[in-house]
Amino acid sequence: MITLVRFIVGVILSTTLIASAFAFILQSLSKWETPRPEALHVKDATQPQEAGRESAKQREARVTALG
Amino acid sequence: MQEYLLAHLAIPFFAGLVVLAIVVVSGREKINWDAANDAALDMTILSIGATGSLFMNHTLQEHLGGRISLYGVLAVLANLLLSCVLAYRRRWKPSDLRSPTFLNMLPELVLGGLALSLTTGIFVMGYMSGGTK
Repeated sequence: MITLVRFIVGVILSTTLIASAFAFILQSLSKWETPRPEALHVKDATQPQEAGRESAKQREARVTALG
Repeated sequence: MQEYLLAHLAIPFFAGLVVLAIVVVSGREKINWDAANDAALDMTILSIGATGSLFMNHTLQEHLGGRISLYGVLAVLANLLLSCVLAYRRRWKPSDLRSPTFLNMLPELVLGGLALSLTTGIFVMGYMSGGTK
């Protein structure tokens, strides 16, 4: 009986400790703002192509116009 | 016993914590409640994985005798049940209640921590029980 009580108390205490520590860490991490690629001047692959470079659509239109 | 727990539970736990931190800091979005659910699910998986190796311990086998497989299966079943509850909560949690507040994430992490503590508790109590074959 004493063993069972010690087991239950130990499980409850360690669960509370692990869960609280983990929740605190995650809550702290959630406040961090990860810099966006634009802020780091890194070109995102999903961005439209920059001016001056021919896009696939423009190239197709030019080839069509040339016959 | 401490070395055994360190090798099979604590080190994988901290490795998971580091991987979670890497995922969080390299992600494009701010973390929310889902990160807590993921972490808790990882804890249940870790606990299930550690059960096999922990229950191979010779001292524990001597102390628990024939009951060791019974306790092992019970631990795995309890962990599976906890992971089912976590998967259910992930599926049905409303999207507007997924804010990363301490109290919002605590129930998930309690379920994950319970999985770890349960396996560790069974191991520790069996190890210290002196032996009744």
